[in-house]
Amino acid sequence: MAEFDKSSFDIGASGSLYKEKYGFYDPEKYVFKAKKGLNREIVEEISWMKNEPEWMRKFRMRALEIFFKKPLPQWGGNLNDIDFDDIYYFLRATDKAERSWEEVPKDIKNTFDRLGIPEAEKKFLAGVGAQYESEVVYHNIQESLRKQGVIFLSMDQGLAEHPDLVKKYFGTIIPAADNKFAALNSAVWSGGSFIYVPPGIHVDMPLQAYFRINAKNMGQFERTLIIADEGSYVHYVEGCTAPIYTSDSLHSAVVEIIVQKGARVRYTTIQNWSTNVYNLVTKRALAQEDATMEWVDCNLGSKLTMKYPSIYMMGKGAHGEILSVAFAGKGQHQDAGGKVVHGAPYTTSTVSSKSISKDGGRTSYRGLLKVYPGAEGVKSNVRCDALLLDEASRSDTYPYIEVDEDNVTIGHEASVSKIGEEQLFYLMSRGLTEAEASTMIVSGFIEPIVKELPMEFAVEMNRLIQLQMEGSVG
Amino acid sequence: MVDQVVSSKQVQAGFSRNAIELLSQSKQEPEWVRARRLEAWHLYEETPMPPPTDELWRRTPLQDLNLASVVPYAPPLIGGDILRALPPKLAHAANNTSAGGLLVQYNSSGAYERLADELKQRGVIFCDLDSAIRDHPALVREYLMTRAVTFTENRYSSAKPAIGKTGKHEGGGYGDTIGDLKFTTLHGAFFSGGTFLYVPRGVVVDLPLQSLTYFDEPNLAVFAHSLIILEEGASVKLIEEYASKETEAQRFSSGAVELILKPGSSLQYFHLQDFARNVWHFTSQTALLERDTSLTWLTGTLGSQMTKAFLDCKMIGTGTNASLLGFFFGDGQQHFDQHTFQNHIVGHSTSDLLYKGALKDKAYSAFRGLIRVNPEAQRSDAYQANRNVLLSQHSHADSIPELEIEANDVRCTHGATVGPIDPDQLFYLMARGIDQGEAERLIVEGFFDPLMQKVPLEPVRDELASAIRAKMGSWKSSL
Repeated sequence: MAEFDKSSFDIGASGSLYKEKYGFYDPEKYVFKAKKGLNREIVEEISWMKNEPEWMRKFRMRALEIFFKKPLPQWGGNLNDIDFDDIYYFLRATDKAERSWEEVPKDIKNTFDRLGIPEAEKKFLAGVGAQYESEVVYHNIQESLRKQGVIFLSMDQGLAEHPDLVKKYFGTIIPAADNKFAALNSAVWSGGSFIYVPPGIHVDMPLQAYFRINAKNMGQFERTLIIADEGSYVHYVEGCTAPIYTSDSLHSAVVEIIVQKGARVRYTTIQNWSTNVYNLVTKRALAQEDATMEWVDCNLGSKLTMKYPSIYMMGKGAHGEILSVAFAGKGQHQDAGGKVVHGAPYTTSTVSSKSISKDGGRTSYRGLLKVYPGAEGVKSNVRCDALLLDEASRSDTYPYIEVDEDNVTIGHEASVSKIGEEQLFYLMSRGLTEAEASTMIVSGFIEPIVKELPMEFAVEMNRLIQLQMEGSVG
Repeated sequence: MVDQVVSSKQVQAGFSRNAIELLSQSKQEPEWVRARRLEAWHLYEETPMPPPTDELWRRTPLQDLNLASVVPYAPPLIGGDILRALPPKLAHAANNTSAGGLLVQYNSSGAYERLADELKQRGVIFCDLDSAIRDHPALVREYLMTRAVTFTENRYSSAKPAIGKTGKHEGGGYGDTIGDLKFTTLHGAFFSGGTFLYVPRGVVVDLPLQSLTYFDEPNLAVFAHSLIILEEGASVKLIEEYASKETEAQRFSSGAVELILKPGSSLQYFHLQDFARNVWHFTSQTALLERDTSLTWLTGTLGSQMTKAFLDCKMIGTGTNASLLGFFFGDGQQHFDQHTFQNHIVGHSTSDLLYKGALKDKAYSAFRGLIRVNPEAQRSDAYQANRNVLLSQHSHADSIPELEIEANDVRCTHGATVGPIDPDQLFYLMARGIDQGEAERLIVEGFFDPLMQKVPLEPVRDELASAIRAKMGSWKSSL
């Protein structure tokens, strides 16, 4: 709860308030008013309020310059409608809690009900409740992690408590100049997770941002840094199957992962932003010798998602895996995929993508498979399958394959089809309605990836697909 | 107007409006041709040179392309026997009786034409484009760069609205791109020579026709244009070959191919390019397939320093069947950048693409194949495969097979592979006493063979086989 320490600064001289605020907060009395738009002052203010070290302030300022300089990407989805001046770049937790339950749209509430989400959790997900009663669970987990020497903090706390570790790795995998939205995140980041796993430690249960719910983890511009030291293992889970309701129209996160020699990291995302959100995320992992990196990326929500988790295999024998599911309904465009970059010999990777378009939705697989000179013995296989559920929908595949080395085995395959009439007939002849049969076929289509999710997520994911499929006729 | 002989001394290097006027004048062209050239020139001047940031051009930087030093056209050959002047590899064409007709373009103009009398009597027209403009103006005026390869529309730019039923900008994967517009406009301004083939309704031509383009003039830019029109139910096979003499100076070629298939017609078109290693070759090719047509379209790329090709197979009628085949073999520092477009505009059509390439030394290949199925194109069946064999550590292959599917009742798949020679195949041959170099040669020849077998003229097949053997010959195995 380091946040509250820092809130003291903006209250300035009013000493009585300082005490009241220490450890408690009261939104009504809060004096800091967030402003829309982006400029140097806002970024200075963010850094000042977070009481950050000088290098981070400079990093932010430099990133801001890069953001202003870089043009808006003209490929992929249509980004031209984003109004950068109509966005709050920094909201305190207190600002966020001002929404009432009544303001949450009805369809989102219905989805919560259908998924059977507990009341308190619902409110949190809708951005209504500021507290979530999982504190006890949270503390127990923190305790067991601490014994293993695992650091699991919010990025802000991580920076405050482990400045050297953060400084060593922050922005090294995804520099601010990587792309326009990485620059934006670098300038205004807030929240996200910081994880360090010591050598040889296996973290048994998946770590979820969920557990640190009080530490404001679901910001618009969260920044996550995971360092898995030699021979360690960790599974991080981000997001949840329930739709995340927010009135903010832009979510732009950066996730950096360093997988040291022989370590393994799995990063699972289930993205279900409400359909007014532009979700523009940069995720990249560096895999050293014999390390394994796995991205499991499920995109269900948002208006437009542009996200291509990447793995740079820079050590001999590293292995990368990307499993991606995208579901685009009405008005949605999922431009997702992945990048595998082979920079060392005998590295291997597989990419498997399953996308479903429905009600005029559009899914695009966009991927890169790159083999650098000298990376001999590389094996990589990319497989993309798309299912189109009606004639108004669209599916694209843009796989880039760049090979600079002869002694490699590279394969790519993609297919686009509709639900097979024979499959449908088979199921319907056994008494299922067309809708049930279609749902079952869709569930079966994504099953190879869903089975990689933690059990409770897989169950919810299947329920969500059922929900999305309702009213659709194959 | 008096005959004006423009000698090569008078043709200045570089492209300009004045050069177009001189070219049009020397050809004594009708006013409409001159007007079209000038319109194309106007658009050329308005279109910027594709920058390296352009999505369709970033694999082929153009900073080394020197357009100021090339001469836009060369005067026609007067007298002399062009068939004797052909390089040895094309000499077989001179006395090949298994071809129903032969055209030879030398430098910028047609220099030889022969067509079997029987075909002439049935109304087949096979001549260079300049003659066609003179003798068949109505046909040329209707089709020349008006429907297939046009310079007024940028089909690759997503800035233009998509044809989709939503009516709003959806865009392709390319963002704002110049596409092939810069070079089709230049071609539209300076086209010269070329091949014109017209097959009347219901005429089936059994013997393949052959057309050669050869140039040896230093610093010359050639603008060969092929316009092939098949009326309803017509059927023909055409083999086009491009070659040039090795010289020091950089040379430039900007070609266009228009294949127009009326309902029920059937075309086999073979486009074989083996230019010398100083040529920068740009080509835009479009096939327009009306209802119930069948097209086999094979592209062979062996020569040139740099080849940038845009192929667009536009299926505008139902029941069409297109087979797009390609082979390429790069060595030295050759750079090939090819785009194919299986453009399913209406439904019930099939397209099947197979491009195979081998690369050695420091050769570079980028293959980018797009399958697009419009919302109206239900029941489309599209397949695409790109297979690359890398024969050296420093060769480079990019493969970008793309799908843009807007209809649901379709079957679209693509596959791409990149790898070395299959070690199992090598082992098999070597276990039978064949040495490694020979075994590798056999495997590469076998890799290309199914495509070579499609070429209908045996001397051409032999010519291709020896070109591939020659490329393999200087190869030192990396294994």
